[in-house]
Amino acid sequence: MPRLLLKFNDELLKVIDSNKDLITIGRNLKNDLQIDNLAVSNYHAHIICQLGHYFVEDLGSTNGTFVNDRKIGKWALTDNDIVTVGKHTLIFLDAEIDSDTVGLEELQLDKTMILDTPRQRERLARTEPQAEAAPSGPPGRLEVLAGSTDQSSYELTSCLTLIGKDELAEVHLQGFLAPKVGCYISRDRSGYGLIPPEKKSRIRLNGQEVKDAMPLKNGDQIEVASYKFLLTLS
Amino acid sequence: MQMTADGQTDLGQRRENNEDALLVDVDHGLFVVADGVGGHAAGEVASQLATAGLITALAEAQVNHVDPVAALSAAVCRVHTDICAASQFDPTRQGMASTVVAFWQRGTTGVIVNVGDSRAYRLRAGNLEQLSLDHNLASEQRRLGATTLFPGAEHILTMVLGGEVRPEPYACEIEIEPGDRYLLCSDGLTGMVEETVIQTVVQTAPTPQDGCRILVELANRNGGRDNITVVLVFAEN
Repeated sequence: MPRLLLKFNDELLKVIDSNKDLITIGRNLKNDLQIDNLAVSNYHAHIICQLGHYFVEDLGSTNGTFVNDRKIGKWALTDNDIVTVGKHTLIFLDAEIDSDTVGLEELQLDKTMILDTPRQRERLARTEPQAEAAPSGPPGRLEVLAGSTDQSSYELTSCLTLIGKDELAEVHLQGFLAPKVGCYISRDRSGYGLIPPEKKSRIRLNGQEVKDAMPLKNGDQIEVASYKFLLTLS
Repeated sequence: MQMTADGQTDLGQRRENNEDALLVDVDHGLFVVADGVGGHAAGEVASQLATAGLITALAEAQVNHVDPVAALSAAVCRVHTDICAASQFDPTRQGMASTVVAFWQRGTTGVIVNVGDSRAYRLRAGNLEQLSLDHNLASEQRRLGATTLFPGAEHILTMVLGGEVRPEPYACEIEIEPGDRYLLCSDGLTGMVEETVIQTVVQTAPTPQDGCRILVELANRNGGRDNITVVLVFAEN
């Protein structure tokens, strides 16, 4: 059973332990938790337990109900949530939150019904499976032909490999004159691509200067300043 | 605080028109990305209304010296009313809507506000942090503790400008530090490019212009299923 702490100006006024599934909050004396302050509406909000989850719901109060400084209509409470009602705050402490509690499905179905407007149907219809962005096939290798690097060859497994002196660079160039960001090699379904970091970069692909992004193929030679690499794709 | 910024918007590979809109105004410190929804060229109208409406509203706010968070939130709500009004009198524009994410920089403080799934990120000390709050079903489901998401939950918006429900924009105030890098983008980027890759580019791009070009290139290479819009703002060291 969760516990509620009622505070005013950081001063703890009350500790509420209740076994009820509904705790009403407001200025009226009929409320379970009565707060005598003009900023609080007569029937301001309630905390309700539904299918094992606790929610705080505003009951159309004048000044609104806030959770963690955000105005809410209904909010699923989690441990340490701060509920603000007028100038009073309620801290929700739930030591034994059970995320496996049944009932989430029903709730989500309920939600989608509410969300089902024409616009959202359109967006839903546009949705396609997300898997296609994943690169396929065995990863390519980048061999160092010239220049000082931390390894003699690299396996290009990530979606984006940076060649340079930058700390994020997987292909780490060594030497005083090495560029911080030499070039990027992207990897996606269609294969590998060479992306220069800026238009004026000194990057060459098979001897030709590169200004824009270029697709890469097996046997391509990439030159970044005085460094030279060979790409092998199987 | 000296800022440099640039933005780029791209059709992507699958769409026939670009419904995104962007605004980069370094002089007034206002940066906006809006992603429009609605057929018959109405999406563009909605997203343009969003960017244009914010400029007007903030010009007024600067004169009146109101609280920046309140000003930006109010401006976003006013854009919602504008879009509703514009769609009411034109049957071809019925149901048009837009997301918006805006970054308003004033000296060393900034305000981020958003409605929908367009995002704002901050890169600071090698960490990429999302500053905006997604108003989509996936985000709500995660908040409720769901382990399996509804199919397409990422694409179901729970709040938009021009929708049936009056939006309650998410807004926060931030301190800007020298060297910070800010990214505003539509879901055409975040749906196509992994966050770790986005971070690498934002962190290593020599200029905002180059960063935008590389991010758009990567989103297109990964399929470019939606319009792609990015705005990069660098706080000078």
